[in-house]
Amino acid sequence: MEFLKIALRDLRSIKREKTIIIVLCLLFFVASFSSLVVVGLTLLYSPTGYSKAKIGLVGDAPIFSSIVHPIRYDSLKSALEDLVNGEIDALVVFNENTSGTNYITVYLPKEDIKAIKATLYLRKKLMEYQDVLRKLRGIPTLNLKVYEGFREIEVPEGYSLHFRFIYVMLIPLLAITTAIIISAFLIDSICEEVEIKTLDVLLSAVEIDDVIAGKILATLLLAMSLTVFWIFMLMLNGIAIYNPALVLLISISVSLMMSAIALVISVFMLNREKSQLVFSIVVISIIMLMFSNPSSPIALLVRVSANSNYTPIEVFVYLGSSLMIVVSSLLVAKKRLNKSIGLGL
Amino acid sequence: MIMLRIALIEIKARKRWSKRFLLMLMLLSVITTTIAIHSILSGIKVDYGIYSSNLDLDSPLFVRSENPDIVICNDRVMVSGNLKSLSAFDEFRNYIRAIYNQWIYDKFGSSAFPVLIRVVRVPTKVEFREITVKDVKRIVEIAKEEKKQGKEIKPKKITPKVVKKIEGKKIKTERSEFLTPDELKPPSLLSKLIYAFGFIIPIYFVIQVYSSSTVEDKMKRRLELLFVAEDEWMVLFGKMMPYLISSIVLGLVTMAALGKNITGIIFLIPIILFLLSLSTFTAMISRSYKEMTFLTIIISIFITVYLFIPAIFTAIPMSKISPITLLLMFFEDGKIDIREYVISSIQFYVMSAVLFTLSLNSLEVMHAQANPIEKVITITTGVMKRYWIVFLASLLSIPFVFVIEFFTLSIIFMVEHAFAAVILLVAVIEEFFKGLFIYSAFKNGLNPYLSAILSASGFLIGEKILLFTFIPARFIEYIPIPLVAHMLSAMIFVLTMRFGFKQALVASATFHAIYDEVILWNFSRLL
Repeated sequence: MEFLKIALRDLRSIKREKTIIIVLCLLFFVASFSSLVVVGLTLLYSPTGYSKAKIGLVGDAPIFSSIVHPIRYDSLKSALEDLVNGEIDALVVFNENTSGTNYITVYLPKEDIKAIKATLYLRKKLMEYQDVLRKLRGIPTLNLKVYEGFREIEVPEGYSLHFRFIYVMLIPLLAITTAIIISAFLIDSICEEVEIKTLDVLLSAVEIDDVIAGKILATLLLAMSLTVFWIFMLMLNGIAIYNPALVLLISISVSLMMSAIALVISVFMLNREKSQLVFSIVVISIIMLMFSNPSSPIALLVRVSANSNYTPIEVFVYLGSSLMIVVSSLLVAKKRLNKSIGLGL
Repeated sequence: MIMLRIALIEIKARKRWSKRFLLMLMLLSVITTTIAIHSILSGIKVDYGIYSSNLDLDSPLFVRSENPDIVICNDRVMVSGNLKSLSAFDEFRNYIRAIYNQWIYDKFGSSAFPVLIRVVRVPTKVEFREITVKDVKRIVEIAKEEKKQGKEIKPKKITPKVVKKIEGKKIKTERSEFLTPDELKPPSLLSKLIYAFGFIIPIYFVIQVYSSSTVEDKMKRRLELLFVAEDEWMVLFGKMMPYLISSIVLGLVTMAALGKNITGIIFLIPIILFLLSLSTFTAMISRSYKEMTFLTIIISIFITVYLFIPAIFTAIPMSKISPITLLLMFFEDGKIDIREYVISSIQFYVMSAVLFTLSLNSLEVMHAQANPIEKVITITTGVMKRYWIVFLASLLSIPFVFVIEFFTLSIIFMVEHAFAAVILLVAVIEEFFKGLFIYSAFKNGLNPYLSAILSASGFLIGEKILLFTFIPARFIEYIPIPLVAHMLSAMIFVLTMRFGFKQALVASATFHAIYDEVILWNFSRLL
């Protein structure tokens, strides 16, 4: 029962310092800022936006003109002037050649935001134009029809961006942020006890096992509440998270794995400065590895939260192995701390 | 001399790191770099198997399923109409297009690609338009509407192997920069950010070591000893120096490694200075390692966003508020506009100077158990000893207010009907800073009414200086209205101050918020 007391003691210190409020603000900020990004992307890439792009043309291109209905210019100079002044959104320069290859020069605004609108519109129209020319040459064109029920619908190009942003970026990011926060918390709570010598006092009353187990328990509880908080927040924001219970379990597994690493690093360094530095370097590698590996816990998190291909067994395998990693890190930490205390460090 | 000595002590303290530790750090850095390169080359793979279809597709994104997202039947695809199903179709379309391109190239050769495009980018005039409240409201409404419908599009990256082949075989010799229409992609906003991150990340590591070292010195009470023996500012600056120099060197090395003009460092210096003084200040006011860590994490995320987000929206004049925007522009055209540099960097220099001064005055609260806000009040009380300081402090607080307000805006998009909440938050932030100085001055025995007038006018002038750098001068006619508002709310603060700082803050912020709400509401009806 001693380890429970230690855990509560650690959590109380967070409560006393109100740091938990900062952490919740942080997660809230990450989530709200991401929805800002989603809204921004929505505005930028909305089909209503790009349908209005005005295209200028220098040269002779009857088929192209019948598709795009461009504004005709006689000289490149006056056309470019209009582009610079914002009279047209993009400028196309070429003479149509129905039998050979058409080399088209497209002038686009250098400013990214302005260019996006024109580029999306032009891309669509040029693809139509390409299909018309292919038909003229007797080359079969790709014609995919999409139906919802019995009704044919149109899916805008790049529709998947929104989906990807939520499930492939935002949710993994929140899980990783949680894991990093609680690992940093664990490192601090261990190094602080060592550096201001409260650990010695603590150990005179409590077994070393209980101290470490208590600290791990505190981080586990913290990880749980933070994850519940962001899952709830995303749901409130109208984002569908499928299988929230499993999402919680995976997020906790990721947090546990990272805190096990943090534990081992901090008992070897016994100094906050060194531990934080080593941990942040290690964590970068871990994040990169997790994102570039299709069977990592993060990949599983993506599939589970999006209700894609997964089996619950995978979730429990990760949970089980993260628990095993934590237990072995506990053993390592115990051995190491015993030794360093024996040495009087 | 003393400064140099302290700098040397700081360097020696790093030498305490055993050779084994340094070796390990080097090894870890090498491993991390290797992993980073490997991961960048292999790309993101967490999206494998997120979609399902009724057929076996040769794409890692798709798996075969009994209950698929898309059902493929000849040239028809059935979708269920939810976000995932429609996204699956979008990605399937990209996949099939790549196969189709390959196929027609094999069958018809380069005549299957009748359109090839070369893109030339032209700098255009950036239109300047005043953004009114009505505009903001409208944008928010449109955005929410769109969000509900879940409509947005962006061409996904597809690289048909065919085109590469064309380039390789025939066209590359003369016109290598040509693209097929499928490949015409809008500029990727994110890639620019990732690129800019390359300059900042190494600096973050240096700052991290610095802040750990400072907080350790504080916890072990080494700073106090030094402060007693030497001038405080020399101690702190001497301590900063090695980190300042190594950050600058790291920045230069990164730029040189990426083949960029190293003059670009002048855009990073204000940021480095700011991060250093911010770390000093947080180290001074935090009660424990934990608090320090949390404060550091949240502040660095905020600052990163503040620096990087404007860099995406280069078409808006406001984007030049961030030195990172100017840095990226400088790398593109090699020109430095002195005026723009001053505008974007001065806020960071001012904030660094302010934070540094506050850190110097934080000796007595260094080990107190009060919460950070109480500590800030104690520190400012130590500074507010003259009337002109009240005015100056209020004026110089503007960059901080601006940075904090920048973030409250993001809430608009998070919560329904958040407009009122944002106005309230903005009022609380502004009143906090104004009230802080009045309260501190009062504690020092200065006349609260005079302090209130000084604080309010300092704040207003600072606010306007900032705005005028971005917004045309005709706004000057509106000055009397906000001046009255700032004065009145400051007076309310003074009158309620005897009940305590928090209570006075609530009172003045409520007034401020109601005032803003009424004014803005009337304005937006007029417009």
